[in-house]
Amino acid sequence: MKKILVFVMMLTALMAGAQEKAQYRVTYDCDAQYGAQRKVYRWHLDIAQKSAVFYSPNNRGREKVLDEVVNENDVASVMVRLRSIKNEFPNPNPLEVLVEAAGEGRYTYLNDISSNKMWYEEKLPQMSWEMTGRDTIVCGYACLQAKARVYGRDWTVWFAPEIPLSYGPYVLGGLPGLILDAEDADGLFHFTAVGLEQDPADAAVELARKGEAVKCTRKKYMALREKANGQSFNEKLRELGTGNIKVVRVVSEDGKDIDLNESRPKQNYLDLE
Amino acid sequence: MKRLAIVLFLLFSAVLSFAQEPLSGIVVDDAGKALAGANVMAYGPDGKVLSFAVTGADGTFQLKKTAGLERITASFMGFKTVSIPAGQFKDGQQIRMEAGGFQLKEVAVTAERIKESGDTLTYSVGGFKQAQDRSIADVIGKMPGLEVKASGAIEYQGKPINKFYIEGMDLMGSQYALASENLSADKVKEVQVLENHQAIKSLRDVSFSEQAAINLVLKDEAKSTWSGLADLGGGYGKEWLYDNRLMGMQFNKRFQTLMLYKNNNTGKDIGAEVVDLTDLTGYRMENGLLDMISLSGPEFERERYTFNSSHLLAGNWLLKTGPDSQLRLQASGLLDREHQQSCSRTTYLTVAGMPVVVEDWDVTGRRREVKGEVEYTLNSAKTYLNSRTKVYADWNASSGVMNLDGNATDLMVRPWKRSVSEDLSMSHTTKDGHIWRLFSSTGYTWLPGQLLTLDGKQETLDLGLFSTRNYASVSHRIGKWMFSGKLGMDARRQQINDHLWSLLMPYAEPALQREFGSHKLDGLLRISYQRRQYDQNVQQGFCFEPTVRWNWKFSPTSSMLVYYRLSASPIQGTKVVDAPVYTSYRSQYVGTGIPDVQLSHTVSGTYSFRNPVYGLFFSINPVFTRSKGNLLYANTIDSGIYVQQASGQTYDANTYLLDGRISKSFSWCRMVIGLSGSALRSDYSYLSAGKVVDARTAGYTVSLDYSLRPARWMTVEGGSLLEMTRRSVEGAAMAGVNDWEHRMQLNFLPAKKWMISLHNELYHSSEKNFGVNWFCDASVSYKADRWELSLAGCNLVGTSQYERVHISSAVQSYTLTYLRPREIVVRFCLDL
Repeated sequence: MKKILVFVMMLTALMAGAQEKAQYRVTYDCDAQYGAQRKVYRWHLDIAQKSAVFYSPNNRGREKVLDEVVNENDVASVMVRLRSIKNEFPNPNPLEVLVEAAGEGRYTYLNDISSNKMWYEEKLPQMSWEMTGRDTIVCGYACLQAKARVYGRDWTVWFAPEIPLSYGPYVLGGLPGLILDAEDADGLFHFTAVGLEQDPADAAVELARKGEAVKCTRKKYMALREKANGQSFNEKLRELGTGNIKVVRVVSEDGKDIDLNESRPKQNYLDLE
Repeated sequence: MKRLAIVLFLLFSAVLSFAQEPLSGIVVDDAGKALAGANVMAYGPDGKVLSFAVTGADGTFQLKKTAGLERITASFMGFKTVSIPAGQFKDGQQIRMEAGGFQLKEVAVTAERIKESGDTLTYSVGGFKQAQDRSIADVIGKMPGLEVKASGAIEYQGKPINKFYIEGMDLMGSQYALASENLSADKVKEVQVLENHQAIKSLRDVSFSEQAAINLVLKDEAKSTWSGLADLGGGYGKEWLYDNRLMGMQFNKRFQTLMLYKNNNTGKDIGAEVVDLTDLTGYRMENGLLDMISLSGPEFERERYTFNSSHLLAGNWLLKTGPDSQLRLQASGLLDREHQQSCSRTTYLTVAGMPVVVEDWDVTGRRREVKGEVEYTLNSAKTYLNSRTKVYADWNASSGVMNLDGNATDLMVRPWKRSVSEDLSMSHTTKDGHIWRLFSSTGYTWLPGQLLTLDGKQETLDLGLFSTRNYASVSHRIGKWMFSGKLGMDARRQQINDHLWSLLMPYAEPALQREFGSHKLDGLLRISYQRRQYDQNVQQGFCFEPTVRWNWKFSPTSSMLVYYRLSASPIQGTKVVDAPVYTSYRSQYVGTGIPDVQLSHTVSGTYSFRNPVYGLFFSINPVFTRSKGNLLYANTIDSGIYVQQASGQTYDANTYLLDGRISKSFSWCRMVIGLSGSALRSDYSYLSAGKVVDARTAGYTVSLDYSLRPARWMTVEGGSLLEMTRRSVEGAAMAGVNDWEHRMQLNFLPAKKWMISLHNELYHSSEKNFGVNWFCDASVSYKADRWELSLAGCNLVGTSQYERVHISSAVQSYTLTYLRPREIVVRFCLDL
């Protein structure tokens, strides 16, 4: 038993050692159209010596509050808290990406499909950046423009050679400087750096709640995502396994009836293939 | 085949690699350990990047060799950047990097100053508030895309807002300036703009709105508890001054209230805070023919030339009677005494010989107004019911003495007004998707006016104006089409002394709406039968009034709207009346006595662009109006009385208007800049000595406003405005005037809680003999958490007069206005 305990302690220590503390934090705002509505999502990119994690701070904040709420006994206060959550953490997004140092060339992707958390590990895609020779200033840094196709989307990015960090939003990176602005050719996603911070407090470079997620491959993930995209509420409910419960009516936030059989608008994603 | 392909591939790769001859090397730290992930860049002339590479796990890299290579650099987080001239770099070279702190130039995250979520933009108050801002209106004025007009009206992308909510509830109704001008910015967390806001829940996907609404999200400490403000101010100028305010409020989930008492004699116009700003569909009080004597003042802040003594008591209460219903009560009383002194010289451009009248005014205006409003609203997912009853009464009067061309004349006008109205609006969506609507708006305005004329007679002008508008409609959606049918009946009755004008107008209005992709197209045709009568004179006939509207959201950030309408508006009884009526002590009006109708075509457009991430907003609104059947008036001056008599002849007028605004917020120095411009051209005609003369007036304005915080201890806010007025008659250009206005407020924060403010205003004009008018105010204040003490000096320069030339379509006037003297005021403000 003691041996097991020692082993567990060693393992914990090892795991703790694997986490790096972020040295830099880049805050991006992304004007994006995932669904029918266009929204602005706030993202953080926390960069450490060997890795970087890209996540939605509002999603992490929201999930933390939801955890607290679950343990509350007072229903009234829970309701109040739930109502305010939307304003407190606007436009959360469950996507998180952990990129190993460029030399390692791997990343871990964590996201939700319907309400299931999934993760996979994959080699970073080949990004053949082409310099256009154009320059601009973003956040006070001189930036150069480069273009590349990543997972089927054509990205135009501005990177700052002054900041020798080969990272960027999502999996974009591999350039000799930090990517401060990135836009896809279809105009669906536009990331812009709005803040740069050195030594952010209490920021471990890790994926939040990876332990709760199911591991799969990228191929499997893409297949599941494709299946869920555009699903009607009825299909979603069937998948949730509501079994013999008959759902009579579903209403939207503003009290409008939702047709359970109507297929939902297809979502856009950062990767196409 | 496969083998051949492999051989060919190998051959080709070999040739290719031979041709490119890559440069390779290894990057190591000062201890000789390979650095993975280091950036290596090859630069050409003018700093152009020729190629780059990121080192692998073993620290090695390969760079494409290109002509023009000048230097190679290696950089890595935590190490000093190494730069090697191309001539010194050898293939396979080891680049040794020395550890050295890489310091990031930090960029403070601009809190999500503007967040977008679908049709809602959320502006963070903290992100835009500057040290000098007190009310929430001060901060809203600094938010790109939003503008606070001088009247207190708030506009989003050039269009007035249609609702002003506090915590999602409509406490203020259309008199929202009372809240926006008095609610402290410290109590508000966020300002939300709800674009294309349809207040009626059941019509949200049915009836499209171009206007936005505003919702104030309060800080937690301002909610569910009584809070208030008490301001006490006193000072001295020419006389003792006072400026006080007492406000109490509560914002609960079930109950909201805002009560206020204000008084001052410092020139501030508090009556404007209880003016209706949004109510466009309900009954609007009608205007009579008499007005208070208002001496045209200069274009700058009223506070500079108004000698007033004002008291305002106002209360607003809102009670949630159910999850979807509410009862709202609003009442206010205003007492205002205003003393005006001015000297004017007016040239009547449309009167033969262009006579000049010189007037010296000394007038006191007294306003005594009370108004009240009770509103019940049920706004559920299927049903909407709104009933609003409004009452208003005033005992306003102006009196004084004026010297007309050297002769003293007593002045008195009592343009009293009383009004009562009821608006009722209902809508219900049935199970089969039919939307039924009922609307009724009925009101009566009584104007028992009195006037002392130039010849010493007391005229009575008794107007009784009744109006009712009613309709019932049903709409149904089939696929992407929405069909509606409306049947309505409008009636008006206007009694002007002993004369009677009336209108009866039943109408039918089929409408069609279609959505395809990002386009929304709707059109309607009003077919009405109009019966107009003035005394015994009757005119009747059918009118066809089409309206077409096309909205296209062609990108996530841009949208446009094109609108056309042909309207047939009956000329109001107050314009038709053919018995001479005095409209001021020496102006008389005589209409045609013909109850005619006036046609006008309006084409307007809107293009708006907004990118909240960049804080960039842009809108442009062109409008063209062609109105037919405008009356031509013969203008004469008879024994000092200016008579405007309708001749029976008419003319067509064209008006072109273009206005636009671009505003942008920057994270640098928290700067916000706005640039607005407008151009207005009117082509019209007038009668001069019996002859029709074609004329044109044009007005152009350009204005710039800005606000920034260049240092932690300083903020700057200001703007400039150029107004150009041009007039031409029969193609010949007449005198034009250019007026300039500049203002700048500098605020210094020398120590925590202290602020010193300097406010400068500068006015100059192309009229050379007017010189330059400069005003300077200064204040020093100490602001603790719950109270603030300030000492302010106004008009420190002591400018006491202002001169100006104003050109309109009919007159050119020179005015001299007396200004408020140098004044000192001490204020103590307490947050209760």
